[in-house]
Order: sequence, then C-alpha cells, then structure tokens
Amino acid sequence: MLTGTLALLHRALRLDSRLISAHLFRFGFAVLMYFSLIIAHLQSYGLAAAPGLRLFESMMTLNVLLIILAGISFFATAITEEKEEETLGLLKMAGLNPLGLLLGKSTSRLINTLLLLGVQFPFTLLAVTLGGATVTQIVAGYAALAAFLVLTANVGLLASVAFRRGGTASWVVSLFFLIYFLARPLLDGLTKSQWIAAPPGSRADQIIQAVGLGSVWTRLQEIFSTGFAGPTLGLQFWSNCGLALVSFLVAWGSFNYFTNPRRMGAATPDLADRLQRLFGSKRPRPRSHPVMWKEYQFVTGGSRFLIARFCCYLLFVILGVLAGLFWGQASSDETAQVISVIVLGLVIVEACFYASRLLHDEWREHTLPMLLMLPIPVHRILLTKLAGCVPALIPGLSCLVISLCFWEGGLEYLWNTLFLPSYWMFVIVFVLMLTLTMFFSLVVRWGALPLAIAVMLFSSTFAGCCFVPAFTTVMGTSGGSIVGREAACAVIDAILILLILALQFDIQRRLEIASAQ
Amino acid sequence: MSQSGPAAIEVVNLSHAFGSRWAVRNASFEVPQGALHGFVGPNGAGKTTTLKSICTLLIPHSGTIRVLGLDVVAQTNEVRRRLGFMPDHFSMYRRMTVFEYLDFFAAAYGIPMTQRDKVIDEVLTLTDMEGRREELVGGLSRGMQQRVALSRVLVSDPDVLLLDEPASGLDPRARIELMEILRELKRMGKTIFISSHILSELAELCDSVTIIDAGRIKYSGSISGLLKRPTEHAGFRVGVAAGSPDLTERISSLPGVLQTVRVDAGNEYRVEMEARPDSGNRLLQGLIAQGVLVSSFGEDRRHLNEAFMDLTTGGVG
Repeated sequence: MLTGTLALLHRALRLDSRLISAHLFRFGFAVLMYFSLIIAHLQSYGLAAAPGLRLFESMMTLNVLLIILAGISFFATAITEEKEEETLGLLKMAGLNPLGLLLGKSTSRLINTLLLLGVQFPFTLLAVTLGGATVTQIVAGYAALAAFLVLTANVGLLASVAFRRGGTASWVVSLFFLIYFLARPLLDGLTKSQWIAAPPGSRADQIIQAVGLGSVWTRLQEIFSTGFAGPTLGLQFWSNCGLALVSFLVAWGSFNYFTNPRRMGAATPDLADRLQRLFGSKRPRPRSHPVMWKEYQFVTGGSRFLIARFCCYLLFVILGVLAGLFWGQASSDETAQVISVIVLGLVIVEACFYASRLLHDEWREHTLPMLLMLPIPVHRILLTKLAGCVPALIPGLSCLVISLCFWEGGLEYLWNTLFLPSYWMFVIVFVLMLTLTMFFSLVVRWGALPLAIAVMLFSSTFAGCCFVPAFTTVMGTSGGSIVGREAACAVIDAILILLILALQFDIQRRLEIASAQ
Repeated sequence: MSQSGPAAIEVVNLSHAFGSRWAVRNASFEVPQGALHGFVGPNGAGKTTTLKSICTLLIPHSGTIRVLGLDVVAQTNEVRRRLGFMPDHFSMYRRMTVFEYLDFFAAAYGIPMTQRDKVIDEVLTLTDMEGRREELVGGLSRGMQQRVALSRVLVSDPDVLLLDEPASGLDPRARIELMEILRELKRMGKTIFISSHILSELAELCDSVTIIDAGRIKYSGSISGLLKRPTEHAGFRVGVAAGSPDLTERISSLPGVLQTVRVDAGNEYRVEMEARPDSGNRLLQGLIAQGVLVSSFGEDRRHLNEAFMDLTTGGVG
C-alpha cells in the first residue's frame, strides 16, 4: 500500500511543481503578504495603534478566506477529478486500496497548503517587532488555522468521495462552510429573539457556546483580543481535528460504496428528472427558441421544478412570518427584513449556480462543437442560454416581493431604489460576478464560482482604491448633494457595464476556441 | 458518382498552425458531389484540423475552403445549414431522451413542428432506432449512441456529411451496421467525407481517398488509382490448383512475361508483363495452353495498408 500511496503523492507533487498556475497562485499569495506588510509598515509611521496586531489580523483573515476557497475548489476535487477522468478504476487495478488512494490524493494537497501557511509564519513574527501582537498569539493563530485547514481538507475529501462530480462536491463544501460559520450567529439570533429558549447556564446555552467555540472565526477573535492568555491549542483546534478525523474515517469507510463501478456507471437522474418522472408527463417540445428551451428544461429543471421552488420559497416566507409573529417577539417589520435578506441570499446562490453551469456543462460534456455548429450566431446562442435561465429566478424574486409586503414601506423602498444608480450598482456588481463565473467556467475545470468570488473580493478592494478619489472629487464639486452622488454612481455603473460587455465578448471568443479544441 | 454543379468540398492551399507547429500546410483536394470519400492519415497528421476547418469550427490561417461552392469563412451559416458534422468523441446531451435530442436539433435547424415528427421518424427508421426513441441518451450503449449521433447529423438533411472516426470504439457488428447505413446514405445522394483509421473498411466503402501525412496531402484521388502498383509494367496474380517446381520457369517462358515470382512459396504467383491492353488475356491463354490449372486470376493490386505505409512516415510536421 505504501508504495502506491507514495507513487501517487510523488506524482501529485511533481505535477504541481510543473503547473504554472500553482506558481502564479503562490506568487499572488506572496504579493498579498508583502502588501499587508507594507500597509503595516506605513501604519507604524502614523497614529494607528498596534500596527503589528493589524498585520497579524489581516494575515489571518486572508488565510481563512484562502482556506475556504481552497476547500471549495482544491480539496473538493481530490477524488472527483479521478472519477470524471475515469481513471479511478485504473488506480484501483494498480492495487491501491481505499486508504492508500485517499492518503495519496489528499496528502499532497494538504502538504502544499500547509507549506503555504508555514512559509508565512516567520513573516508574521514581524508583527511582534511592529508591536501589538505576542508570539503566543501568533502561534495560537497558526495552530487554529492549521486545524481549520485539516478540517477543510477532510470535509472536501469526503465530499469528493461521496459525489460523482466536482461541481456538486464544491457546492456541498460551500454548504458546510455556510453552516460552520453561520451556526453560531444564527443560534444567537434565534436565542435573542426567543425562538429558542436557552437561558444562560442552561444545557442549550452550553451547546450554543460550544458550537461557537468550534469556529475558527470565534477563535481568531479571541486570539486577536489584547492581552490574550488562552491556551495555544484551544477547543477549536481539538474539535476541528476531531471532526476532520471523523470525515476521513467516513470517507474511508464509504469509499467502496460510492466508487462502485455499477453505481458510477449508472445514468442517475437529477432532482428535476425525478420530479418529471414522479408526475409522469413529458416535457413540452421546443418551439422557436430551442436553446432557451434546453437551458430552461435541463439546467433550471423546467416548469415543474419552477412550481416546486415557488412553493418552497412561499412556504418559507409564510412559516417565517408566522413563526416571527406568534412564537418570537420580533415585530413583523424585523421578521420581514430577515426573511427578505435570506430569500435574496437564496436567489443570489441560485443565480450563481446557473451561471456556473451554463457553459461549463457544455464544455465538460464536449457538446460545444455541436452547439456552435448550429446555424445560429454565437452571441445569440449565449443570449438565449441566459434567457433560458432567467425564468428560474422568478419564484425567488416573487417571494422576495411577497416578503417585502410584510415590511411596512418595504415595497415603496424597493420602488424608490429602482430609480437610483447607487442601488443599481449592487445589481451590476452581481451581474459582473455572474459574468466572471461564466468566464471562469470556460477557463478552469473546477471551482469557477469560488475563483470568481476571490477575484471579485480582491478587485473590489483594488477598484475601491481607484474609485474612492474620483467619487470624492465628484461629491466635492457637487457640494455633497444626492444628485452628485447618484451622478458619480451612474458613471461607475457605466464603467462596470462596459466591463461586463467586454467579458461577454471574450466569453464568445473563448467559446469558439473551446469548440475547435 | 454524380458530379453536378460545384464540388461538394474544395480545399485550396489550406494551412493552419498551432503556435509554431504547422498542423496542415498547403493542403489541396477536392471531393465531388455524391462521393463517399475517405480521409486517412497517421495520428497527428492534421486530419481533425482539416475537418474542423471544413465544418467552420476553425478559421484557417490561410487558404480557402468551399462547401458546395460556399466559402466556409464568409458564408458560415449557409455552410452550417448544408453540412452535418459528427465529431470523433461522444458529445451528447445525456439527460435528454433520443426523441428530445433529435427534436432539439430539428428545432434549432428551423424545421417547423408540424414536419419534425416525420423527419425524426425517418431518421430513426434509417438508423434502426425506432424502438429507442423514449430512452435516455446517457443510458444507451456506445453503438446506439453512435447511431443517435448520426441521426442528429441527418435530422437537418444536410447535403454533405463529415464523419470523424465514426467507427471508433464500436464492436464488429455495430461497425458493419454503420457501414451499411453509410452505403444507404450514399445511395440517397449524400456526399460523405469520412475520416477513419480502419483502412480495410475504407477500401471497401469509399470511391476516393485523401491521404495526409505531417500536414501535407500525399495522395487524393480514386481508390483504384491508389491501389495500382507504381510501375510501368502490367502486374497479375495467378493462383494455381497445384504448384510444381518448374512452374515459375514455365510461366516466365510465356510471351510478354518479364518476371515471375512465387508468393510465399505457395500456390500463388505474381507475374509482371509488358504493359499492353491485352496483357491479361494473353497471359491467361498462355497458362491454359500450358495445361496449368488456374484457380484464380486478377490484376496485382496493392492493399490499402501497403499504399498507406508507402505514402506516410508517421511523423508530425
């Protein structure tokens, strides 16, 4: 077993050393580190207190973000890439047992990311020199990150064993992060609004506290506090490592079940297909816009799935409002606001999902040449594909409007924002992110969405630096009026729209290249 | 072979490079309408690049390609309407049923819904897939999927079919059935341009062939022209019922015979004669006059494998 595992590990490390993208990623990471150092250095000249602590905080936050992105894209595809390339059977035939395969495939990735953490440790120690941070804090911070990384790697590994496609595994890991980070605030919120009875010191309160302490975010906040004197390895370290071990054991135990050739070879229908079969009627036939029909039926699930989603959203809104009014002590306005934000979040997630699948499915299934051979111009194919996905957002958006009806003045607020360029900007930025997701889905094999989110995060920081002076100048010349602010926002909107159009043109070009490959 | 109007495919000085490597260099050939034309070459010779250039998926760096007189770069959409392309890999919407899959492509080619049922029924009958119309494409065997792919190409009733390795990965039965379908399509007047590695089948199936090697066209013309030995003399193969030690000398002594070689010490002889229109007749008469029991007699032609090996080097230019 050891020979096979080492061979896999060796292959992965050699492959990684040859990949230019891996080196570019490390280079980008180094640039970010130096950027943080320069900012801390500049702060040390000014009046900012504890520049070392600020440096330490920014490094830790950056690392948490990168570990999340690595979990969604890098770790979630450890086994799925072998499944998708149909090479898993060959590895099994080479005599590798499940444990050897899991270790061989995941260890190299874990080593790579742990090395990235390790290499920055001496630089972070500069925070001690700059002032505000202690060595204990730094060691505790890196221990917390390492445990979180090990947990991420093993949850990703479990998802990649359980699911056939990298995309599905990535979504499951994203869901895990959502629960991991939002469990504590959600439980706190429910306790405060008295939806859950958890008096201080009670069993329920202890569980909520323990859930909170298991999160790397809570642990880092504790470590960042001045005069930190807690243990180097806290509850978060042990709970994350324990959960990682459980994930690994489950992945090992279920490996043969999930990678059974019969199970892998069977054409399993997705949820929309199952609904279709359950109700037993045929899909409507394509009419004047067949590409739109295809996207609507096969990417978004068609009318039955649309109705099912509408019912789910509506049920969520009604139950949420009723629960808020009858069991909680929150006002209808507060309840409606919370529900509206959650529904909006779900619509955003849904839109991201469609954007990531729209072109990637065609690319992965090698159907692009057939599609582009149709006597339809590429830009029209792209537009009709997008148009096919738009109806799928109707259930979410209509339920958003319904939830706003419970918020006094909510609809008026929505109506007023429709005419303000400053509010359009959010929508345009979101469309830009969707376009970026589509773009990356043609560039990378897995993880287009996390990559788009990462690019948006970094570029919004950079764009913020560029736009703020221009924005301030325009505001200054207009005497700080609303008209001036909106005019400045309209200019930014126009620039973003141009960027979206340029990306769309590049997507068309890449589609043509991909179809010819 | 019916030749009316422009050539089905006309490639003139086609060149295309990927980076610094030329995939195709100054390739020129022509396929007449109604022909079943083979396109052969070693791996990496430039076959797929040529095919993709013809089917409008790749814009060549230089040269012109016309399909039924239409320029593939300037009149892309018109070419796409008249041409059907089946790629070498299985690229299918696996979650659609066979009917949905064909219906989608029929709709995309602008066939009205009233006519689509009839068109789909016809192509499914032709490809012998009527019983599978409600099955999921992803659940079909490889041979069946290949038939669905061919049905998809036929649904728009194209005049020219481009098939890239259509028989790869098929079992012998599926391969034979596919070849039958191609013969039927030829009888229907379609021009078929088929890229394949299976030389024996191409020799049986095709009227003409183009051989490409290292991005350059080595031969383009009729199969019979390719199989003829490159010599100015006439060659024949004579099979005898029973060989005798002196038979080689006896055949060599016949009038007009230049050389006689016994093939693999068996009952077959390769005879080279002066090239005259009645050479075969004279040889056969001479053999019978000598009392030789002739069991088979025919022109000495090369096998396609032999011609292929002579023309290609296996390298990439």
